[in-house]
Amino acid sequence: MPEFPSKEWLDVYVERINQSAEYKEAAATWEGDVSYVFEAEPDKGVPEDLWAWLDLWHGECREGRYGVAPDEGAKARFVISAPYARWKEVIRKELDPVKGMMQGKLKLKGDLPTIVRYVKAANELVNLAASVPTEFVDEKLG
Amino acid sequence: MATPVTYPDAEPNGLASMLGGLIEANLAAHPERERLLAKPATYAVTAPDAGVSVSIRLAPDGVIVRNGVIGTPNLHIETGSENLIGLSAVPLRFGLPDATTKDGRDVNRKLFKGELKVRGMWLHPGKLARLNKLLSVL
Repeated sequence: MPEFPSKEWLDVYVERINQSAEYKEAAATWEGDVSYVFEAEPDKGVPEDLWAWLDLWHGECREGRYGVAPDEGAKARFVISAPYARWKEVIRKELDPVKGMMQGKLKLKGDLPTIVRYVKAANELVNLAASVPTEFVDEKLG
Repeated sequence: MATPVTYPDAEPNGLASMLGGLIEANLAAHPERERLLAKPATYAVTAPDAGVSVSIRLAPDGVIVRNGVIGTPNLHIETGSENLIGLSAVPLRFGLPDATTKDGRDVNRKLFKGELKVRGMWLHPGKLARLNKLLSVL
C-alpha cells in the first residue's frame, strides 16, 4: 500500500485520474497544471514542505512529479496548500475541499472563476485521491 | 479602478478570500461590471456547514469584504458551502437564476425547500441581481 505523501502514492493517483471516465468528462476542457503543497508537520513525519505537480489537460493527467522544487511548483496555474494533517482529512473524505477552502483550512492560489467553473472536476480529483489505498506516514510512526 | 476589493480584517476568512477573489477576478476580466458598483448595497453571506460568514459592501469607490455579519445588510444569503460555490456558475437572466435552464430551476427548488435562504430578496431584487452578476463566472 503506497505511503502518503510519496512518489508511489502520486503515481497511483495519476493512474486513477487517467482511468476515470467521470474525471475525463468533468475536466474535458480543463487546461492547466496544479501543484499540491503538503506543508510540513515534523511531529507527524513530514519534516519539510513537499510539492507535487500535476499536468492536467483535457481530462487527463499527462504527467505527475513528486518532490518538485518550490519555485518550480509555484509556477503552476493553481496551487493548493495545506498542512499534511488537513490533506489526510481530505483524502479520508473527512473534510470537503470546498468547505475547507471557505474555512481557510486549504489555501488556493490561482484564478478563482476557473476553479468555480470546474468544481465538479475538482471534486472528482478528491474522490480519486480517496480511492487510492493509502498508508499515512504519521500512522507508521506510532 | 486600481484596487476594487479591500479586506479590512487582518486575516480575512476563507469565504471572504473566495468571494472577494471572485469579484476581483471578474472585475479585472469584465471591467464593464464596475457599473454594478454605482449604487451602495450591503450583503451578508453565510455558509452554516462551514461555520463562516462575510459581509460585502458595494460602493462606487470599491468593494469591502469583512469577516462575519456586520450590522443589518440589505440582503442575507444563507446556504451550504457546495450550493454557495455553485451559485456563481448558474446561468443568469436579468441577474437572477435563469429558470429556463436546469441549473436555474435547481436554485429555485432550493429556495422553495429552504436549502437556500435569501432574506431581503423581495425588497431588494435589483441589489441581489447586482451581486449575482459580480460573482458570476459565466
